[in-house]
Amino acid sequence: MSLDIIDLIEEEKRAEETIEDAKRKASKILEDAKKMAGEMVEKVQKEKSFQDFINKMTSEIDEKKKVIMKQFEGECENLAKKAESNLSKVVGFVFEKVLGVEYE
Amino acid sequence: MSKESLKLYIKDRTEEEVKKIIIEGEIAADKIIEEARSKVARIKDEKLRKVKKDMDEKEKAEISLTKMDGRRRVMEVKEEFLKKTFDEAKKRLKSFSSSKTNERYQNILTALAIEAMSGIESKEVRISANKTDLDFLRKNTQVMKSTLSKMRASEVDIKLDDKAIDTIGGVIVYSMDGKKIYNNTLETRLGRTFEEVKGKILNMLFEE
Repeated sequence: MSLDIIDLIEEEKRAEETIEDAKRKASKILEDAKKMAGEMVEKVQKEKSFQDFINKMTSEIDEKKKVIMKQFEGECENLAKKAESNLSKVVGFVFEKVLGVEYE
Repeated sequence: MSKESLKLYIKDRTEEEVKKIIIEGEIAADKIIEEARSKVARIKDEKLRKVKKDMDEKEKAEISLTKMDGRRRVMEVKEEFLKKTFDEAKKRLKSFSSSKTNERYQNILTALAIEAMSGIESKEVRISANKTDLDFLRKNTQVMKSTLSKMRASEVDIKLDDKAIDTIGGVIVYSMDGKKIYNNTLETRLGRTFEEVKGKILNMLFEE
């Protein structure tokens, strides 16, 4: 075999090795991408996210509750005030009603 | 073709092939990452929707509980004043009935006794009352007997208990066999009146 042909066969072998290396490299790129994708999904699944949103909503709810309770407290105060001023008149009404016998 | 040309050809072809393999790998990798990004966005979106839904439910539940609590407090105020009214009315009735010389009360006591006796279908009746009221009724037995007999158009025999009962005023009337009872004490009348006109009392208490 002439030296030239041997040389070319060697060149061809080197080329095949280079291509195999490239395939291994591409495969590694794919594996890394799959790993990275898996980690991204796993991370978001584990994440206790939206805590800020939850905190904001919770404080808004607390605020609404305070407003409602304040309204009811105002209503209670108002009722108590009216009742205090009407009490004597109502007691008088009940008193007369109790004594209002059919035969008097 | 010379050997060098062939070697150059092999080298160029190899480089092209390598480039192609690497680019294809990178494109596939980019696609995987892109899909993962979309999935991450979807998961975040679902999570946010769930958090919003949970928070909406939490808000509804807590607001509803708060309103219930508020309404309970309003009810407590109303109950408190109903009780106050009851206690005050009882106090006033006690003070009114405890005066031995109160002519209006004496008239009412007589009327209470006659009303109770007329509610008992019996020829003989027995009256229980507190000591002061028994003393007064004892003195007025004849008046009551005559009024009742006229009302019934037949004679009625009235007996008074020797033993006084604990009441602020009024009477309890029994048929002689004890089977029929008419409780016309002021406490019982107060309780009955309260039940009958509770709505009106509430309106009167909380009106302007």
